[in-house]
Amino acid sequence: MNTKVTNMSVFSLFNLYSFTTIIAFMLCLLLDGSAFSTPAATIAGAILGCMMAYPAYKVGMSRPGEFLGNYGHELVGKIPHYTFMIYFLIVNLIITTIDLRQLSDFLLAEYLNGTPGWAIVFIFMICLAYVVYCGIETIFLVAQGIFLINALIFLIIPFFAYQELEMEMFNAFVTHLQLKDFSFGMIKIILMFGQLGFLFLLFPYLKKPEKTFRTFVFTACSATVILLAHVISVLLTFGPELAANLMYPAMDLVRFVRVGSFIETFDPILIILFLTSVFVKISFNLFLCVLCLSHITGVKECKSFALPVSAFVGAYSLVVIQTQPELVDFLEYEFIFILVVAEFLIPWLYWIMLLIRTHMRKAKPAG
Amino acid sequence: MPFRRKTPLPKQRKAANSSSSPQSQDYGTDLESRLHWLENEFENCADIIIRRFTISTGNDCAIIYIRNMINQLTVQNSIIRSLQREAAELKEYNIYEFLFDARGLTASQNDVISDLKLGMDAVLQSGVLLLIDGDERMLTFNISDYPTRSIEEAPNESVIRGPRESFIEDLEKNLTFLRRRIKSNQLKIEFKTLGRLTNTSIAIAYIEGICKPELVKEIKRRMAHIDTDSIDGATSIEEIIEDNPYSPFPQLQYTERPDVASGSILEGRVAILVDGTPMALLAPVTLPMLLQSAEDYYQRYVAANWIRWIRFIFVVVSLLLPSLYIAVTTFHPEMIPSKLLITIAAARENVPFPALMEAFMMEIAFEALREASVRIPKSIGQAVSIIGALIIGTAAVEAGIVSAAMVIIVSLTGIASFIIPHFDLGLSFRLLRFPIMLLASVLGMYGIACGLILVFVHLVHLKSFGVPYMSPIAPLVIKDLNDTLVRAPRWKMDKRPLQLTRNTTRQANHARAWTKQKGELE
Repeated sequence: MNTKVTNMSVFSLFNLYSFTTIIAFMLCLLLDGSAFSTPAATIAGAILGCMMAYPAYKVGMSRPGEFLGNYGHELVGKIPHYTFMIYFLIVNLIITTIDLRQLSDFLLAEYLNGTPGWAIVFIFMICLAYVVYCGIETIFLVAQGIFLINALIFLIIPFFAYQELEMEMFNAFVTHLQLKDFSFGMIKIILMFGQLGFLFLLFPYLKKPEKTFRTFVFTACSATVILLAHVISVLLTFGPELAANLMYPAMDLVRFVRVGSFIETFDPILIILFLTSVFVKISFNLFLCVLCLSHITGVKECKSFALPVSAFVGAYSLVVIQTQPELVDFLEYEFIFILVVAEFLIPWLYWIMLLIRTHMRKAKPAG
Repeated sequence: MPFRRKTPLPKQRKAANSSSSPQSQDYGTDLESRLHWLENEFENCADIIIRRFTISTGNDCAIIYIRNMINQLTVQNSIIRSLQREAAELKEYNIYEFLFDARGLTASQNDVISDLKLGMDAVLQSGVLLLIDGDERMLTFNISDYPTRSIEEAPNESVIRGPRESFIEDLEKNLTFLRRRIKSNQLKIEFKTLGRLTNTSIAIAYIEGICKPELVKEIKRRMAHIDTDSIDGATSIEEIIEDNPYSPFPQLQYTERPDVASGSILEGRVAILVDGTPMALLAPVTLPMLLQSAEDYYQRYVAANWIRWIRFIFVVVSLLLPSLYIAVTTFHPEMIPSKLLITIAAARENVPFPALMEAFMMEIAFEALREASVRIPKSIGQAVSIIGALIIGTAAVEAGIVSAAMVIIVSLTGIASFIIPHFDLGLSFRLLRFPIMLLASVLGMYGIACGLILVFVHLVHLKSFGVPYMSPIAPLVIKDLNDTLVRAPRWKMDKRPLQLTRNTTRQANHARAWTKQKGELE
């Protein structure tokens, strides 16, 4: 096993993973439900999400040199294990498909009006199939390669818009804190950071698995800072109502920024930024699909699934949802339930079974 | 300038070291039968000279060599006359002892062999073979003397402050360049001969204790699979031993500068020198290494950093400028300030082609001009360049075939591609520019982003002899960044690159400790 994924790579990938789609595509949904409670919900959600990923980490650490797909049946039994693997496959397929659909919708709505959706998806799927074929090590390295620039730009963009900020609204982050809004936002953020736990499917690739949870904590901290920078600046610029009604508030924020007279707007440049970050996220989820599929089918070399799975996801993303409200509906209800099961229930079940079996082994007299 | 070979030829060295190897021919001690075999082998080789002579002890002798490959005067004086002079004082039974045991002949370095096949190889490697009747042993002499090119300034890697000399086609001389710079017994040079017909000598140079042993082993392992009749030059080896032969990016660095080669092997890399090739191959290589120039290390670090950053910017320009122009004018005109947009639109009004066609026409014309300039005789090259660049460019704009903005874009891209220090890398970027232009014309910025993602994934996945091509950026090795994004001052570069060596300490970190002491002038 080529164990070359460093904690720095994990940190880079999960940072991009955690903030990119929220800022790019889901900020309006988050602000719609949480309004001025969003910053507090983001902080609380990041802490809880990170903590909720702990059982997954513990399960991975129980056998860091083996894939969960290979030893999971010893913990929970064969049928539940394979059911869970199929569930992980489906969940990752859904996440990939949704992200891809959101990306193509964003491009079609903002920059490539009239371009057929399949053309956008096709070219992106070529990139995805290639990186998944190259392997998980390449995906992490790509994340590491782009992380510094992307994180820096994501962090800086809100500060460019400081002239537009209505600083009088700042007090509202405390005075307008409401439990219902807070809970809504927190759940969304928990579910985003809870996806850190998916790493337990990949423990044998890690160079220093024992330090993974520490990396999770650092990741949660830095991703939260970047998220907060955007959430606060969008709220202070547009207010919660307008922000919730804008399709892509982060991009509209960029449109407010005037770098100078030599360039009108640099929001098309944002495509490159969004795209590279989303690419990392989707490729990670797509690799998990391919990995789960190889565990389920018993195929040792998961590379062979890269192209067919990519093609399936590409085609599926075009037909999965017909309208934008349908997508919003799905993200608000069903998607939350699907993620809760995948991120918390299943890893917790594995963990509990691991604890029971460890306890039983200890209780069993030696010899 | 003539050059005399002082060190043993690889084949001869091998022969000397392989006394236990089975002999290909066994013709005993009879001179005539051995000469007959050699004459048969060298049949119709008009340049092979076989000279028979008899010495005063009564022994018949023969020397064999290739005409014009050795100094005939040396053969006459140092071998034939010397042998006759010494033989006059010796009795017959002593001549063999004198020649083969005591190595009495002082003509250059000589080796004793017994295998006629090895003797033939030695002659082909521009040596002299001496046979004597009555003993199966033979002597080979290294007194090759053939014309070689004089040392000139590196034509493709010229610098302002650094040394001027460059490698030439002669392997032995090239090795001398390295040895003169690294006067240490840790500099190891291993020879290998490849090519069944060309018998090309190849030297693998590295520093023991700095270079990873497994790297040398890996290079030798890959070379061991080369089984061809000819090695035309370093490129023949490069294409066979590189990791990904389908990649557009070079996975071995070449240099025509001995200082670059010695600097590289001092960092833990391996230099491969091929006889007949005036440059060294360096392995492994990374993309940041290919963006470094020798000049970076001869200028003061402030200027070197500035130049290096300019280079980085223009690498991006060389790859992306035409694509960005196409994307912005076709898909994202809102990015351009309105006044400039009006100017560009006015300039393009008379142009019947879309931006992509314009860019393609101009870029291909520029590539053709550049290719032609390599082959055009130097006396008219400059005139043709001026005609191509100025007259055709201006005429194309006036005729309304291309817009003035496009001429500026293509010219700037052309200049940018010359800034890339490594020619092969420049070629890769020139090639990749075209598919990205196509993507930009179809999908705008999104197309460019997808193109860049594909290139980046490929670069990240690529390895050169086990070293990631994008290191120290991906994977991130913070300590190695001091000679990647910036060129740190010499006194700060106290570590060798971690990716290349385990012996990372280059110098003590107190190079400027004298600033804390009080000098006599203060």
